[in-house]
Amino acid sequence: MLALLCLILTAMFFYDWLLAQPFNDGTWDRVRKNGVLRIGMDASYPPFGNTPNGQPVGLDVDLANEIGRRLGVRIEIANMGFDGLYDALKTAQVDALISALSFNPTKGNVLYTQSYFDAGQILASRDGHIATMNDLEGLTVAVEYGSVADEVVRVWQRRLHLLKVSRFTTSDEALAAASAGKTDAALTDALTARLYLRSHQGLVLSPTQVTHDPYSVAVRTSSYDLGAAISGALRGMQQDGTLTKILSRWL
Amino acid sequence: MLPFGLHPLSLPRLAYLAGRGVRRFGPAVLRVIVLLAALLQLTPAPPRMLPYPPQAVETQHPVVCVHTRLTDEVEDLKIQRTLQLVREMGASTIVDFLPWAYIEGEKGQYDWHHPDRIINMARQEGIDVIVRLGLVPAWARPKPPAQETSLNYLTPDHFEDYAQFVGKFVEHYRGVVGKIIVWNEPNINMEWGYRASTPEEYVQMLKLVYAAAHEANPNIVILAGALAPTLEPEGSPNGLNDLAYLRRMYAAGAASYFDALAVHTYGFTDQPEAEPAPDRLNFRRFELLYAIMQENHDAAKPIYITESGWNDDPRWTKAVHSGQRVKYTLDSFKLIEQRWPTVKNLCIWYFRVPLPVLNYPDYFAFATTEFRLKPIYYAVQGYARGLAEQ
Repeated sequence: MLALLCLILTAMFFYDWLLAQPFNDGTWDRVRKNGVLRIGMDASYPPFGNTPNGQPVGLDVDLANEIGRRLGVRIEIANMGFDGLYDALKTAQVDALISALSFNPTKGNVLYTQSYFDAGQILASRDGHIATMNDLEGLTVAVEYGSVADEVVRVWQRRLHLLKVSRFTTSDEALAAASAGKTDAALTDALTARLYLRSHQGLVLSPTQVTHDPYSVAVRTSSYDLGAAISGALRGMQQDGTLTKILSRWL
Repeated sequence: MLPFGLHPLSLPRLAYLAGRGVRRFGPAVLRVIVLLAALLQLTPAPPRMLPYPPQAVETQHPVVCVHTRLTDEVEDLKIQRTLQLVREMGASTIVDFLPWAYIEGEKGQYDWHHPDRIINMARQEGIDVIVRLGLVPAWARPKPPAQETSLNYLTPDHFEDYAQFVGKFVEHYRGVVGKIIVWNEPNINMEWGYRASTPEEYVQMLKLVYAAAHEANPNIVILAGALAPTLEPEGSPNGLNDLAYLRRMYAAGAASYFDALAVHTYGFTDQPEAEPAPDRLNFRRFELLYAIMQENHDAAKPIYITESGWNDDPRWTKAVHSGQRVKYTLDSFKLIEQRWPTVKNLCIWYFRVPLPVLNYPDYFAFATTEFRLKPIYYAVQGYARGLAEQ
């Protein structure tokens, strides 16, 4: 009986150890040998990807090219529909996905790298004095009706003593209301807020976000080494300011 | 052997007896304990729902309806919670899909456990269920590996099987379920397992179903159609546009074999007021279907919009802003109530699913898989029950 127990425990420890090992399916070796990194992308979501002249352009394209430059490989972009991205990765039609992808817990065997953009909710106010949701005590915030921001403020209405909410049909209208001083701040996703601020003056984004929705590069879990290399490249881009430059070019 | 010289009740003697007992009976006792532990694991989980009296839906707008997806929900508690939320929203009718394959897994053998719990819980909440019946059991499809088929694959030689099943279903739920949708989006080849089907075939099926269902319950309402809004031309491998399909249905004599028309009409990027046109998909496309009913002197039949709504996925090109989704949904209810008495229900696709797909379909939902209610829920609740939402 004791021997059986020991055997089971040993098998369990071995299984855990096996699971904890980084996998290497040879993708990273092949990418280095061939000098080509194949990227799957749904280039129909500007400013991350778009095809105004037939060729993909956008933030994700610039990011992919910079990753390729740092890894010393050429980037080949396979433009495909969003529905096919993960299948293309799974069947090794591509080596990685760069397509404004949020973490997707239902996708098994996918490894997400360090994120390159946080599309979560962010506050915008006229002089930037609203830095957190707590600063909205007794004030009015503008949101797009029915949006994630609307859901967030409904939660905060229960946390604060008084939080007034003005709801608008679009996020741009909510931001415009904050800009015009009709409300004290607007809450919207960071992507919409940054795009709005590119063409409108008068609003400052809060330094920290209220919620988080990080966009990452996705690789197969069996391509652990490739994922680590891409994460390293993203980290380098973050440290030397290249990532900020790429984001600022499009957002 | 008992050591000599020890008192019968002395501690060493008792210890000796205990040790002997363990050696003798220990393995058997251990086995019994393991067996009992295993049996305990097999006992059903304790009930997580408390009985409560039958409820009634409070609504000022009975046209409000929502499509639920309870078929793939495993836990009773989640089915009940979904239906409670639907009732509290003020929807007195739901549409749901009950698969033929789940109920008649063996030909002639009916397992009503799954549909019973959904229908009974809906009744408990005071909600009417419009049932869509589809999904073909393995015995009614070709046997693999000779031919691999999807679960929608049905050929005319099994239409009679389907009709008999519908008859059994109607008989089982006589007085409980009053409306049945025959098949789903028959104008799309995918809904026939990628088999090129025709409107004439569908009418053939409708005729058999209509007879079987009305024999089981003369008061049953058979809903035909539920056509997918699509612009596919004649000869397309994907399907056929809904207007052409309905015309051919009437030409094949469909009028005698259904009591009401089920309609799928989505707004996509148009607001509900946008003019309908044969080459455009928008909310008022149902008016074009109604015009075909008129052409065929069949306009007295009611219409049930069993799928509709807008999507607010930020990256789907057929979606709108969340605020527009809320506004358009409420406006569509008003439009139907004010101008279309022939439309009995407007059912919004969909309330909640057991698992998200993390793609654009999730943005049709009123509640997340974790039962987090989206603002559109409160907006529709405010409309249906006459409550001030904001």
